[in-house]
Amino acid sequence: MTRATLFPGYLLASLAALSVSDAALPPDTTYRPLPTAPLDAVIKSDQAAKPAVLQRQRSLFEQRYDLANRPMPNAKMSGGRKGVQAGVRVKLPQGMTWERLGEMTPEQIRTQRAFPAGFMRLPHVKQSAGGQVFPRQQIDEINAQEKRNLERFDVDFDLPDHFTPEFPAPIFLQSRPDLGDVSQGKLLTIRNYYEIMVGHLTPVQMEGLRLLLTPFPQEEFNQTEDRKVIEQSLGVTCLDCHANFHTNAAFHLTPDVRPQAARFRLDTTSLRGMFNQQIHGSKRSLRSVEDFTEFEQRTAYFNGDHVSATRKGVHLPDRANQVAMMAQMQNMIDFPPAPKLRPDGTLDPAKSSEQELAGERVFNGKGQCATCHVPRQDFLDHQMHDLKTERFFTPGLVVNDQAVLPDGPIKTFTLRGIKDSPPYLHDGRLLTLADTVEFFNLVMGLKLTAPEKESLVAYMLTL
Amino acid sequence: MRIRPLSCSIGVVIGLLSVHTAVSAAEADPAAANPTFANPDTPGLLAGKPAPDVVNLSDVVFLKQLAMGSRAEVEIGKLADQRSSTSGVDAFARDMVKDHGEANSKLASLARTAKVSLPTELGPAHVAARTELSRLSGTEFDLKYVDGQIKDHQQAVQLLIYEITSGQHSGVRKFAADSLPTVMAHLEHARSLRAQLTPPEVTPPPAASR
Repeated sequence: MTRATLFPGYLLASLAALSVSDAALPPDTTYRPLPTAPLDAVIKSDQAAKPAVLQRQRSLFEQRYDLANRPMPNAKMSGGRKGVQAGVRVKLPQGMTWERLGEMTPEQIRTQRAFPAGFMRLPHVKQSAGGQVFPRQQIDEINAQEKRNLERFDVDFDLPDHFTPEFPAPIFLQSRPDLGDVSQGKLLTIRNYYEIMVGHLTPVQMEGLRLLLTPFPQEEFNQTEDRKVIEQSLGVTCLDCHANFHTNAAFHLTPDVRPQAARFRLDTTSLRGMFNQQIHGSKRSLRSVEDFTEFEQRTAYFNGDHVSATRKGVHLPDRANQVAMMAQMQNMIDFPPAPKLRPDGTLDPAKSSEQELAGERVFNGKGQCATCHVPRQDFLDHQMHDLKTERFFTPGLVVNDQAVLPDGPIKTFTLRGIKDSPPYLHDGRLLTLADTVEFFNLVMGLKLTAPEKESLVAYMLTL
Repeated sequence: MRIRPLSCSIGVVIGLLSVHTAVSAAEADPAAANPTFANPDTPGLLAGKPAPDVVNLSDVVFLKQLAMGSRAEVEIGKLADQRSSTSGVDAFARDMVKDHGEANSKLASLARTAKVSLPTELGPAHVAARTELSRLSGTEFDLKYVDGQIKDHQQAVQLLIYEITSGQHSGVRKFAADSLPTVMAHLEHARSLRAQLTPPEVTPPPAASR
């Protein structure tokens, strides 16, 4: 056999080998590409586009929600400074009522496109860029105390201030319930934590706190040309989002989903009551706060992309010392006091109104809330559940560059101190407690009456 | 513009980008892409309005790959319509021939305006799949066809989702967004066909004792 006939045979063999991968998806469906444009061009481009980006998101909010500032007359968050917003804010399709919607089957709602837009996924203010976005108060306070810049040049925080938690949030220690709020009305930072907390904490907890307040490089806040803050950034801290161990409603995209347009928004969760929570992460179901603390550097900080993390200078805390101390600190944080709750998680009838008690009955009965939010277990069940909201709409719609896909199972969140943590659901798509009642009424097919719905809101305010 | 190995000619694309000197009148979507990954020469980039009718490499990869898959849907769908003996499967195959035929026309016209040349032949993976299918019949054929459809539509869904945030050409991005519900419905349909073709095995009850 001659060389000439051998060669085509070799070519054929390599073509056959190629055939297995000719349909593989492009690598940047999974991996973050390296930057191609110079940073000064990126800054100019992002800054020029910013007004239109914010306007697009504002239009979406106005189309979905009633954004008026309407606090309840008799309810305040636990620090006593900020009101709790009243009423259902998700808008209905033209001519629809909540009662009529509640009578329809999921199929009818789907085919008639009657599912309220505010019940669907809430996109990131700029889905294509994603990343952490901090509220103005956090940016200003960190700038004042630390001269550290949390302001992005491409996007701003998109929720009106009256739909976010009290800032700075009170801090309650489960190790010293007698002390009450120990925050002194201040935001804990690397500059002030020592004088605020010395004496209240053990040395190990103090060191954990120091680490939780130490900035580390992050996807959008780092020193490379792949960042969204003008100057080389010192990075972000754990408590920049979980401000005072609660939440300031800073948001992000889930690290656990790709491609980018499929990722759902994440509203920061409170760390209150961490000592009783058995699974962590809306999707990852990590089994201890130690695991979560250790792995968060590659997830919240770097979108679940260890490749990008390594390039930008990830800080990997050492498990035996740093992780343990950070976790022990987080486990000291209590829920806010709930004076009407008895030790078993039930309402004390002597202290509760008739409406609150009626709400508790709905919660445990017709409303089915207690199936997952178990009162005896701090309103947790340590499970992930799939609400299957896709029964109500046609998946695949694209809203502000986010694909409306089924969310799949999501971790049950606690309801203790729930009035302190708007917005609600894992992505913050619901602005008020009344919105959550309408959402679950529809999704679970509960057919609650108007008085039952109102009683549920009254009950949740007591938690 | 993304950096990645490409089967298309990068030179052609770069040349194409450089001939555009002004932002087009086509509708710009400023929130679309992250400029960090843009070609620095993109017209309008600095003004925050990257030219909406200019392709980036993601658009090119998307168009070529989707066109190749969609062409296969039609060719393999025709085979399945002839070969399948199961009414649900042949109806699905006819849907594929029709829907992907329409999609292919749209893709071809988009590619013309975007000056991207689309593949005219099936890729080796689909040629191999068609060859294998042509040797099968009955339930074996149905299962193999439906399994291939599930895989192909999974890939297509991810490609469409990818284009939404990675692409630049507004027409191509709109095509991706508009097509997603249909392609997701195809995937769901194929998955339900597979469930019908593989009913859970039921052990017959023991015969009554005589």
